[in-house]
Amino acid sequence: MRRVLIPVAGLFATTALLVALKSGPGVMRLPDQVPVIQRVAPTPTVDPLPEGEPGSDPAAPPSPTPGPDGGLVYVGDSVYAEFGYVTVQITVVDGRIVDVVALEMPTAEARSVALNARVAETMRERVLAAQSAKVNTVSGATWTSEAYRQSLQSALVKAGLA
Amino acid sequence: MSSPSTLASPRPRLRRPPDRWWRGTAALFALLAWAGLGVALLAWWNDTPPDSIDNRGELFVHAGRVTGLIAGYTLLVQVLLRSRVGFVERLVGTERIARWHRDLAPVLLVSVVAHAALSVVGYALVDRATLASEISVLLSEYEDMTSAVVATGILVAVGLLAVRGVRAVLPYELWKLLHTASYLVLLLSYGHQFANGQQLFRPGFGRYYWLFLYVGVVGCLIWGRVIAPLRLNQRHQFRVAEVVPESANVTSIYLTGNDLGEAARAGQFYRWRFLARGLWMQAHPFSLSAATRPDWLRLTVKTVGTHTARLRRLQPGVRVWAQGPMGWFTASHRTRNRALLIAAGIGIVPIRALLEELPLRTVVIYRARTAEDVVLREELDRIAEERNATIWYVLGRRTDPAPRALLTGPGILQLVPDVARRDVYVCGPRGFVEATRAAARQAGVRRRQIHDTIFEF
Repeated sequence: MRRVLIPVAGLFATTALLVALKSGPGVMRLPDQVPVIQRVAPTPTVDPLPEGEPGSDPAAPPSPTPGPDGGLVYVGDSVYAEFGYVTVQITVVDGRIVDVVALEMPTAEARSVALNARVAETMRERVLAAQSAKVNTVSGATWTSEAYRQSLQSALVKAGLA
Repeated sequence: MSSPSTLASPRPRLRRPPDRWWRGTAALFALLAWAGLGVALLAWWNDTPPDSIDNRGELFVHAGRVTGLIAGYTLLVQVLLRSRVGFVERLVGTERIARWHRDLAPVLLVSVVAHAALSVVGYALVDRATLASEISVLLSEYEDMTSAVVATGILVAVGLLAVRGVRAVLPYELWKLLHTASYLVLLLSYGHQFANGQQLFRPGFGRYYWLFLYVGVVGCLIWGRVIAPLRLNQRHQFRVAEVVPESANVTSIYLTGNDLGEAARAGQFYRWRFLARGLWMQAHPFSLSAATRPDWLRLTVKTVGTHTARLRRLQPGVRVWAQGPMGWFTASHRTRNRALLIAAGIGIVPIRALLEELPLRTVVIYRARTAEDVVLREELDRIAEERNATIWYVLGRRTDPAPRALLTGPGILQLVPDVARRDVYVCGPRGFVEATRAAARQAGVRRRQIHDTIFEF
């Protein structure tokens, strides 16, 4: 029996020790108490050109940009979702959302990579149908869906649709 | 060919200093194995920023990753240990391989189950999902996860079958076949490791390291289980030459073949598969009962079941497929210039072979139930005379005074006063070997001077 117990105890002790060493304060919180963090836009390292027209912000991305089919393209904020950032881009024609593209999906974890395609496709269909960010999250990908909604919402605000 | 039924005089082997190359090689192997595990965990350590585990879900997810890495690594070590590849057999030794394999098994089993449980609970917490929905997402959305679940099931089943009590109930052949299913675990589980393993799914150090581990272990497995046996049998071409009954239930089988002089050291064994009707499905480890000669070798077998009973009726000319040689129970593993050999029952087989290769003035203690159970007596006495050895036949039931005294320190000292300055080779059933080890230690023999082989049926 000792031959079984000692190695197994070693296994648990090693796992517990390694995980404990990488743990921060508040590790016993539930995940839903963790705030979703909005990515801070990087501050420009180069000064704006002196000749620049007053009032224009060179750091801001040109939004909207004209889309291929005459629509206007708006890029939402990048929103952090546990495993990486989500950035959503919408194309608007005559006040209607005609396309939604996820420019960025979380890639920090293998499991979110596996889910990305399904989340992006499902959310796109739901958003096009609902014409708003008020759509259900995709089961099994709550965090990614939540970030998707937030990024979409910010794009809708830029487009004046929210 | 010298007539196999009359033993030619053994090659004279005079006193030589013992080889010491094998000292600490098992520790070296263990050290490398631990270092490999360290590297596998280091990949996780470097991928995980300090303080990044900041909630309960993450805690479980990371514990799941660590146990997963340990489980995957342990599985590879288990397969490597059993690959029969030459360098592992030589570094670790057959007896110790069996022990390590058995001791690692619970770690593998527990770590795999813990990995699965921690991952499911962790991701359910992170996703704020119920366990059931998380499991269905994991199974439906992730590559190779279904086969990983099947692999876990097989591993748990194989593990439970290997528990000593369960194992004893099953026929050995069936048990062995079921245990072979472990290779499916390797096959079915690697996919989910490379598709979903956090340290493995992206090109990078972790992925290349695990690829290296897999290629290395599978390479060793193919070499040890396929290529090396093919080469060995191509070289030696073993065939049955003659079958000689030694007693009512002990049989000697003489084999011929090419180039047999260096086919094994005395005390070693091969796994033999006799390619005859009713016998070819099973391979069994049988020790050589004489030092090899250039054109023949001999194994001696006790009848314990239908297979061994059929061996008595083997016809000359039957081809024999062999794997080996295996075992550290050899003269080259001694540490002293004198030896004491202790055999119980059929355990005399490798002891008889060793007697030819060990230094002069070796002492043999041969434990048997009755005088009729003593086999190979004539040749033992003759070799003893030639090599100035002493043989003590200790007969009687386990409860008789002389056999009981033999399993005590003073009892051994009485027969062999200088036992502490000898290597002690013990061969017999597990209970006998363990009791003899304890008695020898009590008589002042150091652990590394004791060599044993356990015969289990």
